[in-house]
Amino acid sequence: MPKTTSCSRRRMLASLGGMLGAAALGTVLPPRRAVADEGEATDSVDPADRRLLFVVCASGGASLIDSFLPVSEDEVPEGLDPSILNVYPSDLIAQPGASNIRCVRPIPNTSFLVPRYSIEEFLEAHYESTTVITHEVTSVNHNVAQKRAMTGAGINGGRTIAEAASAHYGQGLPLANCNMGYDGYLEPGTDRYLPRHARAEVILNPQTYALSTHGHRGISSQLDAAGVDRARAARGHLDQVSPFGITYRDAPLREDYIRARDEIGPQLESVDAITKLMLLDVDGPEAAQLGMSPVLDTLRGIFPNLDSDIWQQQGALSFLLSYFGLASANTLALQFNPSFMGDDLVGAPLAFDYSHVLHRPSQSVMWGRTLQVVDGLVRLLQSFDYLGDPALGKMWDRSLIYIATDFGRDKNRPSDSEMFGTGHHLNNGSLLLSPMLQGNRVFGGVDPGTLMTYGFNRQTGAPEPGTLMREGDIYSLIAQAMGIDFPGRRDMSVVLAG
Amino acid sequence: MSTLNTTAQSWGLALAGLCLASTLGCSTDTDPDIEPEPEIAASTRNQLLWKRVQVFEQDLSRALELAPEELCTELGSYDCVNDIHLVNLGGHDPFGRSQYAPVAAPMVTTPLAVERVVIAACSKRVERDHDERAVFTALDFGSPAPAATSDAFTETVDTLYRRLLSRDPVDAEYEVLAELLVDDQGEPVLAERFAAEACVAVATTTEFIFI
Repeated sequence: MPKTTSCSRRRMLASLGGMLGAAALGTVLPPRRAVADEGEATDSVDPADRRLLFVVCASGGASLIDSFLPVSEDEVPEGLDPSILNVYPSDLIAQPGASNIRCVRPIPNTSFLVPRYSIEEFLEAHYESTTVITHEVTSVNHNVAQKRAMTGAGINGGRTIAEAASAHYGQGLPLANCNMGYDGYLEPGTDRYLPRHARAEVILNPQTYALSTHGHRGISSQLDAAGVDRARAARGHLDQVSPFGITYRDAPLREDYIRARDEIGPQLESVDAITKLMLLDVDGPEAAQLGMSPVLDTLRGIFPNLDSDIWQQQGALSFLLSYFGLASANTLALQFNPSFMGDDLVGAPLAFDYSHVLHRPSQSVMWGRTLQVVDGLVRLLQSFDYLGDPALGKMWDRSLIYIATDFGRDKNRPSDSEMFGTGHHLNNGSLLLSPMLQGNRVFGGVDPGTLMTYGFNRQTGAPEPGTLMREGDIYSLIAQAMGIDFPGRRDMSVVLAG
Repeated sequence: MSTLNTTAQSWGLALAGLCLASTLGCSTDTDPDIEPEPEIAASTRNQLLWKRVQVFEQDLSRALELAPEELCTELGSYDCVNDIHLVNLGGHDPFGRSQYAPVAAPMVTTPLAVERVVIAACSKRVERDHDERAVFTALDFGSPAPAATSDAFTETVDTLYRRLLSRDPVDAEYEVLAELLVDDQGEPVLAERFAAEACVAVATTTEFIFI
């Protein structure tokens, strides 16, 4: 009987060569960042500790001075001409109830755009939870600015805030990071050490996404569930004995695929995600195998155009993914395609970027459109217990909504014009809603003479002309509020709830 | 002679050196815990390419002699490959979502999308073969599946492998698929059931998904 050797000559030579190569490369490559950084969850997170992030992308250039930081004509300093500044008549600026935040009322003329919801309605309902933060961005290119709004301009090694939240809270969740974004908001981060589970699950069609969470239910086939199981078992064996499978048994791409196929797929099927996430009324022969989400009626009450409006479908799906414990971070974004309800154009072509043509109507209608979904989302989060468990409290208690903006818009207008176009502008701000932040507050201010926003004192939170916050500050704030630490995180404690 | 002796000495030294080198870091024994080296070495490069949406669709379409649009529909009307599961299968949507690049690697739901398309396509093929044999020509639909030792079984497995994976199966693969010939009680299943299950099994292996 020949002796068995565990090391061939080829393998020995390969390892000697590898050792030499590694020694050489080690002097050139930077040290590898540990996959699990300090504070990063490596085990499943206790649901009681999990926090939920919703990134709502107001795509196209949503201006704060046309929404939550308006300046009235009367506030423009003497000597300056308000007719050439993008300021509003006093009667178009509201400050509802006990709100410390002002907003623009519905404007009288929105041209052919049809408003369905107003900024004022939103502020009346949610001013206590609303935090306005001024900042300036570093790009007026949509794609670049959107990406930087997600990554904090790279402050956390290139991770998007959704990836960071998922890395921290998403271990054990099958779809930890779901992204229904657009353009730069949809792009992944650039951190190559991102844990596998935090990679985004890209969702293009929220209404039918449920179908992607089951391997066969709803597919017309002679195979019943038992037949599929038999085929799957055979397939698994084939993968083990085939020359291809043996040759590439260590290939990371293949290993990841098999792990998703053999571990996460069954997990999604076992929790009946295809039913829980189904937003579509199903009829036909497939209906016998498919069911609708148990929360669908409630969702239709919150989002009345759920069956036809992809924006509302995004809001609904993001709620479902979190409510049923499938995701910890969701990104939803307005698309640049126009949106119709019947004959009404309720979503401007190019979203907020239609401000290039009709600034004020676009800002008014699109802020309303954005906030209508945020309003619905907040109401759902405030109504439902996390995972349906009263012991875990309302979902809202552990949630943060970040309304990301690309950048601002021009501060000037043609003299006395109500209908004018604007270009992109670096100077703007963002909106956040969460019980983890100080609500009913504006951090920063706006110069009434130039309409340029400015920042705030990092120790006191008081507005401080001459200061500017940046993308990294917003990112740091969200991370800090969510309990996520990273090297270089800026201290934004002054914004957090007490 | 002295030259031969020198040569012999040289070979001897070389052989001794080789033996020494071959033992460095290696153990040579009959320890039953050490797995015998498989005949096929593992790839050291592992440069696999994900077969994305159009290629996946075309390969499946050609293998099963179905038009691409016949492979799979969701809910009776949605195109599985180019609509519902576009991004899961490696595509992207530059016009609707300004998604200018597809995802870099298969997502968590990619295997599920693959299964849905393959199950639909294989089922469609089996259904078509009832009336017009194209793929499962060796099987007698309506009758029990053939025996594992039969030519019909071998020919069917060969057909699936050649159509889907462009090669002949190895012995171990015949053995695996032979298990699909019978049910849990050991009774032969219907030939069409075997056809569908075998088709799905082969077409959802990683070999069909990566190149």
